[in-house]
Amino acid sequence: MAKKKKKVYDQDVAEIPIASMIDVVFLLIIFFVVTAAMEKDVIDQYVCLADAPHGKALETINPNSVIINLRKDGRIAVSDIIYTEEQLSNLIKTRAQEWYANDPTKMPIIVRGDKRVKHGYIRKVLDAITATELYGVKFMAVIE
Amino acid sequence: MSKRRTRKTRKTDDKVEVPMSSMIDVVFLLLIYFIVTQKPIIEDTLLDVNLPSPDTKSSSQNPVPPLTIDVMDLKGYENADKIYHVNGEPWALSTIRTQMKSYDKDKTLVIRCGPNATHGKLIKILDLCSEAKLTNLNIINDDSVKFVPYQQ
Repeated sequence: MAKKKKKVYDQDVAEIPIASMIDVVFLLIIFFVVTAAMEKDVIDQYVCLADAPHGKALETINPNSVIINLRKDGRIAVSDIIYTEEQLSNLIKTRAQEWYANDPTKMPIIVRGDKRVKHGYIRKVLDAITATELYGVKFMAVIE
Repeated sequence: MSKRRTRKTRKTDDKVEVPMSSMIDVVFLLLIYFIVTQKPIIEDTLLDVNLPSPDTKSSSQNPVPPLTIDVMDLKGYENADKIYHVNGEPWALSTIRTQMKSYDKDKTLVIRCGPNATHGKLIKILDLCSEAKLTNLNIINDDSVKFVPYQQ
């Protein structure tokens, strides 16, 4: 009689199905990417700020402030929109009337000037600000 | 009949296997996600200055004359020590820093920046003022030098 060799392997292998978990992870990633809040672009990527290591660290920026970005080539940008000096003066006047009707001098005006820009362009921005009868300005710099 | 002893070998190894390769893929994906979405923390600071206004009190009412710092518009850094003039004399930054610390906190400083000097030089002076806790800073025009705008 032919011998029958019967091999019996009795292995208990417990497998955790990973394929479904990967699908869940992808869904989560897509969810967080789609629902990520886009911040309002008040910081101009073309402006490279100068260093001021001894300045006091800024915690929050007043949302009712005017942030003027002055690029290296002298162009004035507010929220990524290019302005002339006259348009800038009108913008500051409008915002001061809208947000600080009682005391426009309390409106913070922040100038983010590129460290390589000539002071003559800064002067034009400052003149546009003083044309609105506001005389307090803050220059933004980077603490390293 | 002889009994043949059949050896039945039973392997009863209870192995619990957890496949790691897929888990490693998931971990790499999560890592790449957090690296891509990470934002570098850049601390900013604000340096307050005053602009000339019609209500500025005349110097005759101020018994202490203000300190005038001129930021000259010199090309290159070959004359780095001569970029800053204090009351008409060229001073090095280290000297300015030392002197500023000896001034009163309410001392009036007038900063006159040349129109062709870079903004970074002005910020350096404002930074020294911030270090010395000087808050009465005024920026005025230097009309003696003609402004040369960038060629566009």
